[in-house]
Amino acid sequence: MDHLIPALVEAVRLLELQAPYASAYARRDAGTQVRIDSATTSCQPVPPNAGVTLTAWTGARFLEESTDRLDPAGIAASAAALAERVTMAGIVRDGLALEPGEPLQRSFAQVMAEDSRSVPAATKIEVARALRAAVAGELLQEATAVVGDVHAEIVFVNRTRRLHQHLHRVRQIVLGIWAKDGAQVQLHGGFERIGGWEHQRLDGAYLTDLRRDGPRLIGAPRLSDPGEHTCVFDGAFAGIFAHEAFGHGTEQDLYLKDRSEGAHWLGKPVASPLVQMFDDPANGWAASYFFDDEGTLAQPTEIIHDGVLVAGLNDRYSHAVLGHRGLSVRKTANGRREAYDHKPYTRMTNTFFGAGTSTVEELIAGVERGYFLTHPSNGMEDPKGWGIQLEGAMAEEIVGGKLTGRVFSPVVVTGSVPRLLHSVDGVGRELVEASVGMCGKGYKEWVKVTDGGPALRLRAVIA
Amino acid sequence: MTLELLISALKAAPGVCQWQITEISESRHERYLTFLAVESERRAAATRWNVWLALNPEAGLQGEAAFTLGSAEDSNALVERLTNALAAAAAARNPAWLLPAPGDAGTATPPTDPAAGCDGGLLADPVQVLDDLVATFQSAVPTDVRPSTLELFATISDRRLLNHRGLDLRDRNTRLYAEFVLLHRPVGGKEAEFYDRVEATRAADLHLAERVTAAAACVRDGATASAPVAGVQPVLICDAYAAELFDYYAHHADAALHVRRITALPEGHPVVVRRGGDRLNVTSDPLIASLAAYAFDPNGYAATRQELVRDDVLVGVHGSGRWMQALGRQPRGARGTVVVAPGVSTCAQLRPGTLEIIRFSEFGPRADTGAFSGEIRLAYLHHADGSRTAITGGSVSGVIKDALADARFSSEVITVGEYHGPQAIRVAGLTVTA
Repeated sequence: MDHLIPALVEAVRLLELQAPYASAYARRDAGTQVRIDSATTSCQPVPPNAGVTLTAWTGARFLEESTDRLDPAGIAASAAALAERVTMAGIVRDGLALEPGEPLQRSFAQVMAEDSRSVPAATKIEVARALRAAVAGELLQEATAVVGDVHAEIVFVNRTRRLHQHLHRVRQIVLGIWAKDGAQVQLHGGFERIGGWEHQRLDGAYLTDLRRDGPRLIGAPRLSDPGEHTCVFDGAFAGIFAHEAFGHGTEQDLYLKDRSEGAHWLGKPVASPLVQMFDDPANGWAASYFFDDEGTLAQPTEIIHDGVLVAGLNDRYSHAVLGHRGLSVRKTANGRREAYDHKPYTRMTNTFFGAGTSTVEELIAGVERGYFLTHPSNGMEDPKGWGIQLEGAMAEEIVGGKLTGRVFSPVVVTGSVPRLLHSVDGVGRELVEASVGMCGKGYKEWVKVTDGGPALRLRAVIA
Repeated sequence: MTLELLISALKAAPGVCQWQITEISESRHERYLTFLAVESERRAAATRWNVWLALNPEAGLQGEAAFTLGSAEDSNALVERLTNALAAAAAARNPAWLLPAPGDAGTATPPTDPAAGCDGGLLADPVQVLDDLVATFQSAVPTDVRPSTLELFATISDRRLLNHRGLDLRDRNTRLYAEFVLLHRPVGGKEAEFYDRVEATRAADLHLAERVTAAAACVRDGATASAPVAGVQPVLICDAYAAELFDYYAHHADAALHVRRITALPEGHPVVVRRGGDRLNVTSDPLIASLAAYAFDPNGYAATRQELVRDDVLVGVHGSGRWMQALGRQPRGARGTVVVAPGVSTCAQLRPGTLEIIRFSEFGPRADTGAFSGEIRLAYLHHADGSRTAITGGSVSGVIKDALADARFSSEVITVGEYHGPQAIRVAGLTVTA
């Protein structure tokens, strides 16, 4: 999309004849998804979802115009339409100022050892078939295998910045259905990785987990003793906890709306001193990028340090408003759009707990009676009330520091976020990336995220 | 890119014996307010063509592929996309099935009014509709409650469906989406929020003022709510959560699951072991207004009422043309509004002694086991004397087959999302944690 940059620059120039700040964002998605089950095979390109959004800040509000016309004439037409809207809305000269950032002109690309765009469809289908076969085992009734590659080309332009990035990742997901005597259970696993087709190997540890745990969960009852227990979350379960707890809890666009209790806790303890937590769009996990959708360069944010809430995540607007209110808030690269034609919000990227020193076995050994929670499926945040809901497919009983082999399914964790975090008394040493997730803002605006962490030992209300 | 160019390319493509194009043109107006001040106003418009094609079948198998083109893409993109699709189709062979022709049994006829069911005001002036909704919201918020956020989306979409057999259908749809958050701080207490969202095809069906009034009551009650008492309790599941529970049955009545033999509910068998309560009757009816209503389905089949569960027994399935043909049945249109027959008791009769759920954090029964859980954001514990206590925190858990075994349904019905049926379900015993 290099050829569009002059038109985007011109659009920003035109808009800033009136507006105190303007920017342009162009994006084109591409890729392939192969899906195979027992009845059908499909190999489809990812919908191109290509277009441009022009943004004008009037000093009081944003006006945005999105078009799927990716040509200079289309961009010029959108710019003219948006300029007219700016005129109609009027400019607030003493309004909030948005900083465009230091001048920077740069192009970035994630590296693919084997360019997945040049892998033939037949090869991709064969890989998906092999993946489906790899999960075969006892009591498996059906398996759906998905392999794919996703590419995004993104251009951001404002009066100081011309940024261009190519993002590439591949994914591999298996959904298995195990059944016996009329009872069935579904379990999924997989991964996403930055890079190319070189990552499409069929030796993922998740396949071993699926083959082992799928049959075990058929007919598994719900917990017979719901209530507060000592629990060990495996790394993936800890990841969803991180995401829902002080991922969403530190999104600073919610601060502006008085929707986040975290706004009152910066600099204060919210967790056990054993707890460290980060959001890092530059750590190479599957939600990584070079700059966010508002042109801010990716960098890590330490959210919790030794149990103290030290920083939040923001987009351009929330950072500016909080600064205007006199708060010292570091700008982070978390302004993200679901697609080119969606509004940017403050969003997480790769969110995880920091590693500790224990092995998972040591954490389990310290539990007289409790549960080991694995196979997380979903969760929901509550930044205002600091409640939380985490769900997973499996809780395995621990008695006398050992797993008993008795499993329960599904399991839900609820309770107060700080109470859960303060109860952490053991942190694993192995950091696990749970890479197949997506995240909504409330119940919409889905973006790619990952989460993860080491295993955690804590007290939690489960059912 | 033009539709004509696309059709010509498909007609000329070697080996292609079937094709379908769905043209979708969509325009969207969005408005975002924080504390009633506009933070952002957005406009978006796009056109795309979703293409499906199949190669000549051999031994009952046909290669298939699909791709999407955007209006900004040129003929080079079309050639590239089509070439890749033909290669993919050659490697992806599936059981053959046939797209419908005009006049075939079950095929839709062109709607006499393609915009039937649309919001006329939205078609005429979407900005005015948003202005009116903002004014409605503003005037409905009581003075003791703070309106944190309001997000409004107005969408108009035009759809045209064409296939190689001459089918050519058009329709037009409108959608309104509203989500808002209210805040309330009781004297000397901690501030609480209440979130609500609603989507409908017409602005009037959002019932925005009524929802804001109800939400204001909820945020006041939520700010002083207490934790639940743990144990097994009767629970009243209402509104969207009732829809989620019943959706389990519509999901397992999907022909695709029956072809793949992964449904939890075999046809001809009871879907629940009845201990008492109201019998379950479920239909799929795209003719009943909801977000799932349609004039023609994604392959051009007509909207048809289909009985799925009769007196607790699965008696039919719904499905797309592909899956119904795979079962050897006449396609009768994809799944529409999920309609559940109401019970005979009123909500007022069902409430006493129950924990009535107003908001879960999240709620969705698992497709495999029917197990469900939800953290309680707000509930009311209804006492025998008619009074009620607001509850927050803890969770409600259960499994559908047990929950529905002696459940009673309200006589009042609602339409929410893609559901039309009882407003409330009284479940005799669910696990509540504190």
